[in-house]
Amino acid sequence: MGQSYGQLYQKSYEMRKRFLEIFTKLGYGHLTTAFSETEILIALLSETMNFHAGNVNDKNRDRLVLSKGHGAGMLFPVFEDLGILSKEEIEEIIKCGGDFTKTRELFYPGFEFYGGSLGIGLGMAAGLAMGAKLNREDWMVFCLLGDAECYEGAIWEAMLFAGHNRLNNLVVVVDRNYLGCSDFTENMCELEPFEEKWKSCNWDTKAVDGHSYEELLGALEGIRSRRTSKPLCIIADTVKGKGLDYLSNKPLMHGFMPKGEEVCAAYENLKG
Amino acid sequence: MKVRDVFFHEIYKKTKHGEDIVIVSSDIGAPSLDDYRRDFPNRFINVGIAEQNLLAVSSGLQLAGKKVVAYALNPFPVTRAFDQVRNLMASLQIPITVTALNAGTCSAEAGYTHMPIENLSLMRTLRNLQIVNPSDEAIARKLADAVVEEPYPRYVQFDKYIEGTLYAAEDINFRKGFITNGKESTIAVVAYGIMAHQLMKLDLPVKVIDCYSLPVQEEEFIQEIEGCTKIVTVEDGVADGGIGSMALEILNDRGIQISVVRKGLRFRQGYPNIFTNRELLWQEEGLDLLGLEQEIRKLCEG
Repeated sequence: MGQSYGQLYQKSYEMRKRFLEIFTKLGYGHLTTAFSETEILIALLSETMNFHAGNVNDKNRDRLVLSKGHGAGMLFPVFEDLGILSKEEIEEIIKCGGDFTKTRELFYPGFEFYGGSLGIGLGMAAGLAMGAKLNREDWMVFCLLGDAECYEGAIWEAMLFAGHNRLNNLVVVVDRNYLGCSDFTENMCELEPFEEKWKSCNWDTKAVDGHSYEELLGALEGIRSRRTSKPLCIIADTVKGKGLDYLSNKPLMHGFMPKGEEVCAAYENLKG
Repeated sequence: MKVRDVFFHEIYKKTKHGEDIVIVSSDIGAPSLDDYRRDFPNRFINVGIAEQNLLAVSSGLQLAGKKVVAYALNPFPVTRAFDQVRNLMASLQIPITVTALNAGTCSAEAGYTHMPIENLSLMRTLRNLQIVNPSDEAIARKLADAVVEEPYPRYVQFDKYIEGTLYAAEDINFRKGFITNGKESTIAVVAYGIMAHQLMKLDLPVKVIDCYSLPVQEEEFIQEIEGCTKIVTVEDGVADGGIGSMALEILNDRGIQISVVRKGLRFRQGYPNIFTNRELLWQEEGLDLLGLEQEIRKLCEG
């Protein structure tokens, strides 16, 4: 582990604050999703994956497939922290008329894929993982899914495929915040028993607190030397909007972005 | 040999010669794939009847460095997986080749569910990908070359009733997209797939333009039809948004006034509610070959 837990929790605060700086200026973004997945992305990108400023174009780097594309906003602060994007580049990209070409270069191969059309990423991650195996290469594929994204049928197609093909170089983290856009998942259409559903498709599973670095990094420890043929699904319990109590765990806050006086309130209320 | 089998035989040979090709199937095989499956079991990946996953897994494999041929039963890789097609192939430009068995009404016996008659219209709305309808063996063979030598997002429809060679290999150019045969005339017949294949074999007193790869190179297409007074477009698919629409759009965008007669499926009486086959459907829709030939010859007589 590169950083102490104390440093990592401080980083969470800084990343959320930086997200507010970048996206309140733009006036658009998915704040509650970004805050739900903050610790997951830092645990993966800063502490686990073989992916850094020096190897973004190396074919042996690990891949991250961010299937829940509405969560892509938090990648900008994290990439900045990793030295992959500069502040100036972010300012050039995150604005109306921003240079999308540059973004595309960074998204792909930077993180392979832009999600957002939900349900596509897991199959793509499975294809990448199978490709690595066919090539006899040892890079790994990480895929971040939203829990409400798992209503998409394509997720279940890919889940069956990856389990059947024993893609043990594939790790999924589900951001299990129990919220879609309009309602809680268990009110819309029950996902539980969620972990058992993955197990039944021949996946190993772990359930963790998705805001606890102790638990997230515990689940990711030894990820390259697992003695199993199964892919791994880490179900990370999270709170949508974590860090801003007044937005947390509320339906219909999916696309909320503070504007005007709300921006100051967001900074004042942001918790470390 | 059927165009699909020509293509897969060529893919087999290229894999045998060391090309890093994989075939991803959504629970569909072919006699021409049996050797491939036997000799390269790790290169034949079956996702089951899951066309959305077919597109996603194929894209992941391509990004891992493979040359990917996806293989599915039409119309489903487009109609079921259109969102994957538009995001992964058109927008992200992942250069996979999606091949599909059946084109137009060639499997009409299986019912409306199995007729990919809207697929060309749907795919025409996407930029940055090619829609290939092999109307002869030379095209199918050249397509296998393109998988290796000119990777590009491609969607291919194999009509199971097309076999035989009409064209010379050197005349096939997927960027240009069309080939012209027939006679110098002020009337041009524009078609693709089975319709082009059939019409090319008739000794019609008109130009016959086979648009085997869409989008066609528009300037060259305009040059081809310059001087024509009438264009007849013929397609084994819905007329809406099809090749007739393509011709009208190209002409209209340039302010060129040439009369266009569009022959295609209209379903004015609704979708078929009877057991049907291609021949019956064509008769009902005014697309039977004899009727088409008579109509075109009549046009020539003025």
